[in-house]
Amino acid sequence: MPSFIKKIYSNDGLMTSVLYRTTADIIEQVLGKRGSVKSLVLKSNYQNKKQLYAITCETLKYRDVILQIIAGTDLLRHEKLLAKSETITLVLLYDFLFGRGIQTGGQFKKALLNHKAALQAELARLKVKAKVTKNEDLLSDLQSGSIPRYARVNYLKTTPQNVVQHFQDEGYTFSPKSAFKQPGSFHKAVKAIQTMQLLQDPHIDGLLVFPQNTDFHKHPLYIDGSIILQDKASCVPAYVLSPPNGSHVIDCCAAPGNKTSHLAAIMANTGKIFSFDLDKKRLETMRSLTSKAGVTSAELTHHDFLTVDPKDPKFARVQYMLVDPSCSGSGIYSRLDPLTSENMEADDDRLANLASFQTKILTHAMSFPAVKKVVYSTCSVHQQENEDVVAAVLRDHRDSFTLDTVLPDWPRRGLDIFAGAEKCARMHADDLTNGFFVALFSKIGAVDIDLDVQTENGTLAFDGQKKHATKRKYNKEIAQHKDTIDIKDKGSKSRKSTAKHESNVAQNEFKSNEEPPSKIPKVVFQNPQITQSAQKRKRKKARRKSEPVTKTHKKTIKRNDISSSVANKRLKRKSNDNTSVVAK
Amino acid sequence: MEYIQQQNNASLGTILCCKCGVSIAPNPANMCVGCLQSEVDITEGIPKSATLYFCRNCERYLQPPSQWISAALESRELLAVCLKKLKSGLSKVRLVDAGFIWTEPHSKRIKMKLAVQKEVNNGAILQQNFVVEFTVNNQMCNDCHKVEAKDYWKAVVQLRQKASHKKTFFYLEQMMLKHQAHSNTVNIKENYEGLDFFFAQKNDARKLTEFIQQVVPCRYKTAQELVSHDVHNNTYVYKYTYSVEIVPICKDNIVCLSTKMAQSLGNISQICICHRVTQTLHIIDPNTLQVAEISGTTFWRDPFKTLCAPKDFTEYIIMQLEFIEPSKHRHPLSTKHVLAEVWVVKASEIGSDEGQYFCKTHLGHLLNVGDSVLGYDLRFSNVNDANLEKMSPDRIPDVVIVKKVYADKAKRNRKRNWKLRHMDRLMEGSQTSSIENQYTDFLEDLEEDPDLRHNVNIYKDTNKIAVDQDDTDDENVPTVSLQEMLDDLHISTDATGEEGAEMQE
Amino acid sequence: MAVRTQFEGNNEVGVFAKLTNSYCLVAMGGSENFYSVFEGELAETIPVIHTSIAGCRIIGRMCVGNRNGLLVPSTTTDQELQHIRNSLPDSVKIQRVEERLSALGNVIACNDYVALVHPDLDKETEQILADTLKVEVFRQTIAEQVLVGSYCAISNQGGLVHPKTSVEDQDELSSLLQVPLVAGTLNRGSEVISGGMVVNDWVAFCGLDTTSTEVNVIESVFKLGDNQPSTMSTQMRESLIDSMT
Repeated sequence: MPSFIKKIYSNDGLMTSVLYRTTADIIEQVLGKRGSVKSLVLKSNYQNKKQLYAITCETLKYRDVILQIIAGTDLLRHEKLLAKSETITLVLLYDFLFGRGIQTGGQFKKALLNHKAALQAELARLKVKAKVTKNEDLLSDLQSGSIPRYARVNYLKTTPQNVVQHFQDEGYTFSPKSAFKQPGSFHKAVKAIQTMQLLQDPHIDGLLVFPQNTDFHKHPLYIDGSIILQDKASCVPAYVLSPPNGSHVIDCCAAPGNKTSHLAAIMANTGKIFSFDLDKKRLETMRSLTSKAGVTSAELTHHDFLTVDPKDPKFARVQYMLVDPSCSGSGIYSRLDPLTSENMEADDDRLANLASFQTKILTHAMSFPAVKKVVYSTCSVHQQENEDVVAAVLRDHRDSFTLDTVLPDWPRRGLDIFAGAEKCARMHADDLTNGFFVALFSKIGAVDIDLDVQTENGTLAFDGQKKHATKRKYNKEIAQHKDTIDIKDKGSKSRKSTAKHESNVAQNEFKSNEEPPSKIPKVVFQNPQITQSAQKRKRKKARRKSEPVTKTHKKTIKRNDISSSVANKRLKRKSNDNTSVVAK
Repeated sequence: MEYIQQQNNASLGTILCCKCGVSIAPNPANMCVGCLQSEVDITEGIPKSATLYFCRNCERYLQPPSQWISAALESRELLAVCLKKLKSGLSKVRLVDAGFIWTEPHSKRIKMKLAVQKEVNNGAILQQNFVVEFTVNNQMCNDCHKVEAKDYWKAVVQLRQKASHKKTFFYLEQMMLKHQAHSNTVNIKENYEGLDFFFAQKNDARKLTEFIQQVVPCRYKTAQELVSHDVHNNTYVYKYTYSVEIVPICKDNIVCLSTKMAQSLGNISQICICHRVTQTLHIIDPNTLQVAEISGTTFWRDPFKTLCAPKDFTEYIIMQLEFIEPSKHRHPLSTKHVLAEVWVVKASEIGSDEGQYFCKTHLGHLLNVGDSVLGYDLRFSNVNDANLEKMSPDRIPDVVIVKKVYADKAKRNRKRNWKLRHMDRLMEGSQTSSIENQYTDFLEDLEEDPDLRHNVNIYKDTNKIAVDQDDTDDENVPTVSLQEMLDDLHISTDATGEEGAEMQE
Repeated sequence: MAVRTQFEGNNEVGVFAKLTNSYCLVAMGGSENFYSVFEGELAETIPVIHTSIAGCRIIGRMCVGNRNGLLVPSTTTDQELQHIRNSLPDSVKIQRVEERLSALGNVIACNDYVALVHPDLDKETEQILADTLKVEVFRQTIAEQVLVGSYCAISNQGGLVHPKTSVEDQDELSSLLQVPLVAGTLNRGSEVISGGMVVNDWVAFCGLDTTSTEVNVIESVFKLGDNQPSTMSTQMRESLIDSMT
């Protein structure tokens, strides 16, 4: 028994319950960095380890709140007894205010109950201040301070330009990504973000950064699916995969569907996405979510992906796999208290189980005949689930698959436990996202069964070239959805350069495809420009007339305009698709 | 309670006025200003119009109960008078501001704008501006009333001197000016052989009487006359009269004492010259330089008359002069004079052989051969004086020399670069040439006698100084030194007060 | 509905009466007119109890209560306590409090959920308050006045506070109480709010001097007149909580 507990026990002979004392003891040690919660709990003599662990973790979680309450009520000044043993007070207060109520506790309890009303009032006051009703909300509010709120613009519904315009109309100030060219400047800007401010994420296209406390649940753009609240980390896999328009993609563990909808948005609803999930309920929510997001190309199936037959002709054209299997979720910041988790030994068994599942599912994904690229991602920070799995799979598929570098600009790379681990990317709370891991496999010498007219393949089988191609392809994607954010930033020059680039791509395509190319660039170009100019004209008109047009009215006009243009685009592309099929 | 008032930088909300519902910042009454004013009138009890009394003669305003204050329109003093009128009403409020609104002077209206504050219910302080109109009514002030009524007096000092000239009065005038003894006189009237001073208060008359007694030898009698009588409350209204009689002997008079008095005054010779008049008569025996003082009471016990006055003097010219030692047996002797034996001849008879007279004079210190002196020829004079008649003719000198003649009167007059101040009413209506001459004589006396000058305020005559610069002959002529002169003071601040306003040239 | 009345020519109705959602206390020795005003409005719904506290008529300033309970100062005589106990509904707890600041009505303001108290109130009293009245207790000042009970009147619907309460304070109080607040006056500009009125969820009584403007403010902030008493006891609070999240 540690000395300080002993002191209380022996000197005062207090009848503090063993649970509270033990908890206080553990917390003392954890705070003194003398061990992790788990190990200390295991070491202790207390019988009900589970209960002890729970109360310890929870107390640590609520520590800041409780300390505030203590300060607010001046409790320690009034009660000498409690002042002598702050940690026990902490535990008692946790159990009293947030837990089951004090079970035993003798004099401590008595001392505490003297201040019952004041303590409860202080808690209520804290809640009122934080504008929350539940104790848990108070916690998250106080704890998960550092991750901003990310919103992805749904290209299926709108363009970033329109979204930004909408927010600017609401009084937001917007900083485009061009403002973050300096390394670290984005990080700084996000750290300093304030209410009514809005940043463009420099890494992921169409991702906007809002202050952490921004409430979108009643926002019209959120309700109509124009923006999707998705953490930056979970945007990465689809972005890394970036299947070209018309591709067939499998999302192995699809729920809750954000990644599927992101894929659909990248492909502009062309091609086909097969989404699998084991949980029927989650699949249902996913269905409503994707339909809200305007996803039409996804096929949601309630099925265990492991039992899906890769030989099924249905999947004959599937070249792209997104593997985001269930994981320990240890990277999700809001579920995590740095105090309780730090150095906390992960549950090895569980991790081992998860890892084997993840390996299985990844292997299964690679077994699809046409597969060209596989993205593997987890929201875990544990090596077992990430690098180990990748290394294992890579070992088994040494001949057929190789790792591609993902997000070459991203500084945080995979843990260096095997050759090529640096090609994977990791994310961490310090990067202002949830913890995340992503790796991209590509098939060696992928004999491209050129199923899709849209994909340029041919000889581009080798890594470097292929990478290049992918990149270019992505650029094309962007160009198709290009909006005035870029244009605004760089002015007409950039527009020209994009155009040039675009035509290059088009030429490239022209080379590789038998398809007469004349239409494609036109389609690609005209639409945004037309919409843009039409919009401008409209706006000007409105201004000139200076009619008392209400803001929302204006916006709806705009949005209609845009959606029509998008629909138009979609139509055109579909026709392309059709023609290609016909050509085939 | 130990609650410290925090710095209140928090923004106050607005509340609704409890009467009319308009949105206002909270105030102690929690009412908007309009409602508050309709609710309470803090100017209640303050008269909105009042009457001022104005004396047209002296242009003064009455400040009740009995003070009259001269004040210009829109002046601070008038404001004070007006505010005093409202005093009773203003006592319940706090006066913040007061000022005049311009009105035509002939409108006989004065408008005053007032701002007052008052704490009304719950400690709200209300400020209100309003105008009070004053009507100016005419009323003659007491002083003017007295002046108008002329004889509106209660006591009179009748000052008399049975002398043929007025030099004593000139001197008294200067003394009174210097000591402000006349300050409360209601009126001064010139009378035969004297002056009447009228007073509103009996005390003032007595004060003047006492003052005169300090200055000149005199005696006085009082009398009272019943003016009215109220039988119901046993009050009597009297007029009091102080009759002051000044000794009829003046400076440079030759007197003949009775033997008895001469003996009592140290066996002085009976024929003496009065060389100075202060509280007492100062006499000197020109033959021996023996001096004596005669107080008023002594004089009145055994009054004597003047043998001759300056107007009876004849001019002599010194032919021969010899200083002699005065006899040691007599005393007290004057130390200021020098005894001399002179031969004189009448200025009118100069050139003829006869008519040289021998005499002794006390003016040895002043005289040179050839100087003109004024003297009196006792041999040929025709004087009715009982004392003189009783004297043996041996002891009567032929000629008594009284004073030295310095220069031509007109020339001296022109050269005089100083002047005196006057009580204007004293000389009114009697500017005859004889009086002017007497006045000039008085001025010359002043020049010749420094002691006399001590009691008189002498002012520089700025009009004359320029003229006199070139005229430097006759250095013997006594003049008044510049140090003795006072700069002409401003009349308003001068000690003579309002009565002695004008200067006489 | 806000009713104007007077106690023996005195407009400070809140001094001579105590009104909650489950009972009403009125001072003894008033005119029949005063009682009939209260009884006319309330007698059908809640008991109107004629009593004195510690022999005083200023019962409104002596005691504090809500629908859950009633606190009276320790000077209350046994007889009075017995009388009140007998007249109160059974669900209402009554408790004597040993408190230095014995004019409980002046130092405590409460509705059925929250109580604002004088910062110097005894800890024991605070405890009893929380237990008996089932409220959350906040130590507060209103417009820098410590007599929170005197300078505000609160019901479950709304609250009227001292006219000098700053906007920030109003916001803070409003979020503590979770009812809308307004700064105002009554009895023709008086700022001693609860001295001049008593209020519950469906009726208010204020001094005869209260102007129509003031009555309007009272009726609108306390939501009197348009609501049935039964429906609104908790509705408001819940909706507020919802809107906060």
